[in-house]
Amino acid sequence: MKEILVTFALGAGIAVGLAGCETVKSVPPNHSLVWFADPQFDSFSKWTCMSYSADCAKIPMPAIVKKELAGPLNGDAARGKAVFTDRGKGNCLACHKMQDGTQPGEGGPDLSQYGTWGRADGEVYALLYDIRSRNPASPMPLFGVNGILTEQEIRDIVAFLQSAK
Amino acid sequence: MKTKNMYSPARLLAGLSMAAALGMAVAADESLEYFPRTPIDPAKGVEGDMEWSGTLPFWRDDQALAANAKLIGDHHEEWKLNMKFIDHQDDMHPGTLDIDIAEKLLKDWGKKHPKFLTCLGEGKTDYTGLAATYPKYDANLGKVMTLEGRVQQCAQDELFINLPQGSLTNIRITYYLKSKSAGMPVKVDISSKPIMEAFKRGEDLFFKRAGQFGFSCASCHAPNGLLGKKLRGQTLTTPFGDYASYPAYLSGRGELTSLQQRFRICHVQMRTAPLRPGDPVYQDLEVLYAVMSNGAPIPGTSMR
Repeated sequence: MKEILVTFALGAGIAVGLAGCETVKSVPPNHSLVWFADPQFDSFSKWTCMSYSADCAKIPMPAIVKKELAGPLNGDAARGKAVFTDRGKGNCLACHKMQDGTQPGEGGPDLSQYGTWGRADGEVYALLYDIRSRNPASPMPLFGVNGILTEQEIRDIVAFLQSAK
Repeated sequence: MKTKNMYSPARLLAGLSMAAALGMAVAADESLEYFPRTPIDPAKGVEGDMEWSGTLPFWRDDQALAANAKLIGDHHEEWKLNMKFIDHQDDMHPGTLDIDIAEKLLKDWGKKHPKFLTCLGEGKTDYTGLAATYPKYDANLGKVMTLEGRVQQCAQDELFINLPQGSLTNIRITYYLKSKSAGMPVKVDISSKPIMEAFKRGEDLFFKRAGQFGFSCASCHAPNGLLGKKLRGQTLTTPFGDYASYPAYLSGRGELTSLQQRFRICHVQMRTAPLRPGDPVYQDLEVLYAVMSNGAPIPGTSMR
């Protein structure tokens, strides 16, 4: 018991001593630091990043894929519409005009009559899968090749686009 | 504090084998790894915007902003003001309180540690015009310093405390120092070789594609990208002149925000791994942005 007390007193003495040596007191808390350690961003390291040292910087951009549509389309236009407008999925309205789409962006072409453009399902599917197969300089996201959307979601969007007349 | 332990061995192996299989061949493939480049002339400074968005005449200075105040609130035209009109509003905003807090901190710390104050001011305690000359090459330290890097270094050397870049206290002091250059144009020394080397690396990064979307900075902020186009309710603005207005109080975050934290927000939106403020990549991008603001007046107390 005595030893514990001595240890405690010694510890307290050191603590007081250290407190006396402390040069700067009352630094406001660094709230912003909390924001740096958000684990949800870790999953982004699967794709190439801009670091000079992190491993993700060694991942190359995916090669251009001209994806063939296998079998019949089997797309659902209603589901495609949901994916098209969902900001966490296709978020297509960010750049494209579409029927029933409020406040569309203007980065890409107007798609509201896409069904009249006479494009084959396979062609539309390939463009959605990897837009670079047609235009390597396009700013459109790499929906298929980088797994932003599933294959079925792309098929659903093709069906939705072809229904826009 | 995250370290690089976030990478699982399997993922790392997959990444490395991909890099081994494709890396050498693909790394040289400009069209895959980069968005088509638009040249940036460092000598032109903020005037370079005339070849990018062409909106400079709307926000060049207070007079231009006053003359174009009618665009405020116009959903199709307001973007041409490059959000600079918010900086110049007379209203008090919460960011101005950060200046008071920083001023008090410097006063308190300076009593016991006057060398902290002279370290910040490169020998002087009058900070007028100081922030306008950053980023700059420090020959004694042998590296390019941003203003926040200087705050961090002086706190470490003279106060023996860690004020990491991106921490609120660091940004508050940076914001205070920047307010001492209010009305003065950004004046980065482009005759400095290390600054120009950082500029070149930053320019390269600006066009580098990354992340799940495969975007580059240029995809949204270069004239051959989406610059000036609407993304639903918002219009993409020019990267020219931004550096002059940062750090800024971001009303959306409700907190004072540094330029490098703003880069982080961009990277999260691009779905690429965000880096820590002070990372060499963000420092090079900051030098690029500073050179792209050369000649633009510093608002002093910025808000977005």
